[in-house]
Amino acid sequence: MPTGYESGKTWSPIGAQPAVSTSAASRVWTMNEVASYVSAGTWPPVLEFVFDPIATHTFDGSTASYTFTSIPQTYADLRLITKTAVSGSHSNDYHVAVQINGDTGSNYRYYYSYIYSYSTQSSGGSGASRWLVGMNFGSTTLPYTCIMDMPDYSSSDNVPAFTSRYGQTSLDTGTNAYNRTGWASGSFEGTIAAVTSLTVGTMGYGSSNYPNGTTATLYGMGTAS
Amino acid sequence: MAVGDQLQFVGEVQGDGSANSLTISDIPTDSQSFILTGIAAHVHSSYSSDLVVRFNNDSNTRYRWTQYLSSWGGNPAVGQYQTSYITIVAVPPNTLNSGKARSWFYAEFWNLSQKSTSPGSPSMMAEVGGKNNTTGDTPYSGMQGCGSYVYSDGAPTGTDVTSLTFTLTAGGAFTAESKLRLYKRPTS
Repeated sequence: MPTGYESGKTWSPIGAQPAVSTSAASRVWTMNEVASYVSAGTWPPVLEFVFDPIATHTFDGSTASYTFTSIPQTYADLRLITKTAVSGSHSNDYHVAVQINGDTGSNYRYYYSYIYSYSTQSSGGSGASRWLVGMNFGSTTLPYTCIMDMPDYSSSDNVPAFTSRYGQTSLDTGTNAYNRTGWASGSFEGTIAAVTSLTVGTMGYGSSNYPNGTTATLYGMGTAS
Repeated sequence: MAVGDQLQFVGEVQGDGSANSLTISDIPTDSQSFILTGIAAHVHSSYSSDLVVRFNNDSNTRYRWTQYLSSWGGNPAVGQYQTSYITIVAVPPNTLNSGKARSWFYAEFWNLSQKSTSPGSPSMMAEVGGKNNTTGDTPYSGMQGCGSYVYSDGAPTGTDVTSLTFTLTAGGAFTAESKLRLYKRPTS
């Protein structure tokens, strides 16, 4: 028989239990006790609280990209939230671009759309060196956000892929300064592997560093199966 | 979702190469706001299949939804539908791209439970990406499956939606790599 329980303690049943006629039981868990044996029956699933910030990077205005390394493989899905700070000194818009596993080869395919000035525009890339997940950031007055999700990123069986949505105002002024909202998706065409690192940056568009105060936060969701 | 919200993992269903439908059941009724993520392909020699969802497995024509899909090299597909399901995304056959082709999505659900604070029809939206029968990756992206299980079309009021059933309309099976995961926000 396993040990680790105490006798003679007042106890309360957890969940459905047979009726008892005494306030004392012969087997009671104690605080901080570690189980050595489990029931042969089916245990209810653990209710998990899982929307965990893995890491946050704040750009200081001097760099155009940042790499999250050693991404835990314990989550089911990843989320990357990039919040660009306002910028009065940039002459160009900049994108939110992403590479995985340090791969700079022509292995990225993506497609995006956005609503702009009462019309929709869409385009994409294949054989690209990065995904574009958020388009034309760079407001002088408003910070903007791009939310990117990667399902099943830790799998070695599924193609790394993402969906994203974003809102932004370009650096254009006057009648061209329309707000935009849009979305994108993409997949990786290189060798399939679990995503262990993720680089976020402007990556060649607009020759800009991210403004000081721009943040990129990586979250883990769920539990890998 | 606000940063810092605690997201609870409700459950996952995974294909096995033979099942045409997957059901997430016992959905909690103490929240009205859920997130569903998924990646999928189906077992077929040549054709893609629509991945659709039904609330409480109700197969009556009680769903209305819209789409805006941007396709590679083509005009956006825009439409609105009244059907016996809500289409989320077309998933590719597992023969495509040497078996690597997938479709994927991020979806949100609201009003699944009948809390008095939000008595609207059970609703959802999905942001999708992926492939159909074409050989290239990511031939489309956009929003699809944005719609409701509509009371005025006969969806029962006063009933919690406690299960979501996902089916491939072409009749094929979900591949073993197909995974659908549901998360619950702690509050509505």
